[in-house]
Amino acid sequence: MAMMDLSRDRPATGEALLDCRDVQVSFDGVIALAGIDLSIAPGEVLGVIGPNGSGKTSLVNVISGYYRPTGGGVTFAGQRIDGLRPQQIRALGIARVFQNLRLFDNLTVVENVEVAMAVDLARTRGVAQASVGAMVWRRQRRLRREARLKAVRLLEDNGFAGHLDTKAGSLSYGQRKEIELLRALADPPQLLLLDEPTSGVSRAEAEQVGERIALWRERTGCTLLIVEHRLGWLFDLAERIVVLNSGSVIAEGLPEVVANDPEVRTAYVGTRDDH
Amino acid sequence: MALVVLLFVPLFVGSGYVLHVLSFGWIYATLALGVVISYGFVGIPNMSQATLYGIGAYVAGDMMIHFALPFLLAAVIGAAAAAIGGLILGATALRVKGNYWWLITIAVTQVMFVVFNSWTAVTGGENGLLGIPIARIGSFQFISNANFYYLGLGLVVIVYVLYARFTTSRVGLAARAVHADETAARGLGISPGAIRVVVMGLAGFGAGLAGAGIIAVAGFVDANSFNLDFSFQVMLFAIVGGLTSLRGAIVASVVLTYLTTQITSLVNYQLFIFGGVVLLSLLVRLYLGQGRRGFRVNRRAAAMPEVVDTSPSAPALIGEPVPAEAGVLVDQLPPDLPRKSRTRPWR
Repeated sequence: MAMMDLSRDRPATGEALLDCRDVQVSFDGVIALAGIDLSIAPGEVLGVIGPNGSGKTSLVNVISGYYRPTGGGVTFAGQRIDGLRPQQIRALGIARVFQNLRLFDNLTVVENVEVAMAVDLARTRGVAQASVGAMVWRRQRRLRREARLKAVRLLEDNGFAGHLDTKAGSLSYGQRKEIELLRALADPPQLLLLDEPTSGVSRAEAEQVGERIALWRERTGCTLLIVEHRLGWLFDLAERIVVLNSGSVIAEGLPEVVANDPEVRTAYVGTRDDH
Repeated sequence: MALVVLLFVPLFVGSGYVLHVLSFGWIYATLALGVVISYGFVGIPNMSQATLYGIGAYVAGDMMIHFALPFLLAAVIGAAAAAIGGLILGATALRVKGNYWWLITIAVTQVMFVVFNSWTAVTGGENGLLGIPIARIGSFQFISNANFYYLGLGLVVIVYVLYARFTTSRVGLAARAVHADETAARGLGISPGAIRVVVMGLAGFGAGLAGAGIIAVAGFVDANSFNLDFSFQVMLFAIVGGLTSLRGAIVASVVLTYLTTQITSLVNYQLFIFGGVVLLSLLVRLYLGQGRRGFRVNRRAAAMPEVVDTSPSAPALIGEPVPAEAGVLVDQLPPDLPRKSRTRPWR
């Protein structure tokens, strides 16, 4: 993978694609995020690690709009996005893959990918226009056909030609994980949030997932934020690592530097999964 | 094809009464279609169809009585009013989830029943809406039972076509996704709230058209036509029809409406019989698959050579020797294939 200029520790605000400033989240006094500062440069691959309960998934939830921060703010491409709804944030270009499988099992594989191209349905106006349009004009039917064609092409290019009209629920775990990644990329996002993309897959499969992610990144040039427990795997893929502990950033830097940081080692003692 | 057959029905059915009943069946089918898109596709248990239907009927009726508007215009205004009612209902219940939809829509129907029953200036109160002029389009008057039949059929076809286009559109697909997993759907840029509101508006539109249809066919409505019992009945039609099948809902509504009129002498047992129908349809669903469509698929499967388990434990069909070829077929199967061990004598 082509290495970027990593001499800077943190890009200046002006050139960041995503910028979290003092982001706090608490639930009835329990603090999940205690003021996180973090930014991602366009095209960067940022890895986020930390022990269980350190706030990794909370951070993803804040960026993708599922949690509303109780303090601080998030800026994406120069626009404040904290307080927006998940569907609006997706429409702006931040896609997310959940830690657990979240395919629509009763929809076919094609439909699962097709439905991800409907980002104009994030607002009531878009939904109303598309609904009335579908009943009255032909344009909406053409759009649906086009979306389906795109989905079919995407799936065929990625080895799912034989499974297009299978119900997603009947595929294997690994296949469903792959489709979920394809679905997130169906309408190419600017920033892709991956929450433990290798959870539940074998080590060999994890290698494949890593290769696919690298390939997709090269193809689409999208920026990545990856939360992961397999440190070795992540250190190969990420260009920069942020370490969370108890809702705060405790270290940040190049993978090889972070790996040898004494504070990180302390935080991970007993829990480190050494690949 | 089915439509062509239905177009010729009045020529062969001599009984005006049957045609009259069927025209009611078409109108109820229009309402059941609204349940299919709201409950079957998005998962909103919509017990407010009676209310939206009532809004359509009263508004269209008042337009014809007080403003002497032509029937078609009155029908469109009635449908628009009911659509707005649906949108409002959908929007006020935005924060409601799952089973609370039942409560909200039931409560709205109960409250609106009281409103219909007491707002004399608009609804005629307990006396009902009197003096509705004969519906006419141009110089054509809807007076015979055959006319009513075609009017009802026309309504159901219009609403069916609109809803079928909707359910196969991108929004229809998104609605199914929202129904399956709302959190994931949001993550793909789909607003569940917007879809719910729009679908309730569409259900209202269809119900409003049905309301306009009923004032033309019945010439009279009162609040009892729009009570909770009726919502329940429409819900039942949709469930018996398979809940996600528009055509199934139409067939179920017409058949059940017809059957109901055949048992009017047993009016006290009507609920009992409805309960029986629901039980029966549940059994059909459980044993034969998903609604009417599942029934068809299973029949097709039954037409193929069936593997009969000839082991002594299988209950033999009375008086029927098991064909020898069937036994051979079993023997030819590789041992790891699942064998049908249960016979279904009632099929």
